[in-house]
Amino acid sequence: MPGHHHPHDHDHDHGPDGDISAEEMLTSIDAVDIGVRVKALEELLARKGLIDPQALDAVVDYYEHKVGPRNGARVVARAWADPAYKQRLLTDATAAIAELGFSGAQGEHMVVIENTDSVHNLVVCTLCSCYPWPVLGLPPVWYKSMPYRSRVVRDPRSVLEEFGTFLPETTEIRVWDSNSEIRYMILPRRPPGTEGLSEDALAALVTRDSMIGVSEALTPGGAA
Amino acid sequence: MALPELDAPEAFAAPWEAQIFAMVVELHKSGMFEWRDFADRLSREIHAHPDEAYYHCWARAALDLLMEMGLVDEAELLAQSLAVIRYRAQDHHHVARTTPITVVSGRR
Repeated sequence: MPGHHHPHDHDHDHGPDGDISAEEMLTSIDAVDIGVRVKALEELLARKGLIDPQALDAVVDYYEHKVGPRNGARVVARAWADPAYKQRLLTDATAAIAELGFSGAQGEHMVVIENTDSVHNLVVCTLCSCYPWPVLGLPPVWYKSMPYRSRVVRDPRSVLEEFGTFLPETTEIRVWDSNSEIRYMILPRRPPGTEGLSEDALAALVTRDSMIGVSEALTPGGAA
Repeated sequence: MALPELDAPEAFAAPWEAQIFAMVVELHKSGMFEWRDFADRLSREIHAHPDEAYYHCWARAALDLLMEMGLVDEAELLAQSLAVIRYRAQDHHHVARTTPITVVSGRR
């Protein structure tokens, strides 16, 4: 092997194992570092004209900063303040939510379920992580986790308690399974002491977790 | 089984997570596939690898779908990965630099 007498005579060395050549490592795409794999995919798709890298940045910015649970909070506040809107929301959630300007990917086929004094509802996606992006943003880490997805089905009360939500034993609990055909959002109970509050003030009481159903809306000037 | 990070605020733990997320959203928006086609694969990955990080499953589901659609193949992805690795190796500084590499003195 002319010129290759010293296997470690690279001009840079990564330590005891030496610098294993990239070619040796790349026998299967699963062996490629995930960050590299994703970068390579992006470059390939861009070269083929299938994606625009700048559009990707815009998508990330949009979902990180522009959509989020404040949108859903506006929907809930409107429903609390306006009985006719609430009726439309419970009848055709996708259309009622679009009235406020919120629509888009993962916002189709919305169903809103109302919490009452006797029935508490919460949402999971047992299959993967279906979640109504336009009103709630991207799902939190725990929503996508296996413990949540499995435990909330078997023992929702203990999961609720882990979120600090202690319901009367007489309260019925219903767990709704979102998927790509139907995405659920919870309409939390309107807290006591909120008569006469503006929609903005009401929206400030609506948390992301209360629209997933793992907690209740906040009460004004106090603990949840 | 405890629930992870109830207060974790970040949607993405690393830049590549955001990138693969956005790629799937963009390709779907441009009509390349039905959301359901992706969601089914994501679900399969998550169930096959329950302990794996969520966006790893997302990335595999995306690759699986794109390969099946013939939009990319493994050979070209490997070749492109190699190009990425080489490119990144070029600007590795293997010696820690403990002093500033540029100093522009201020006005007196």
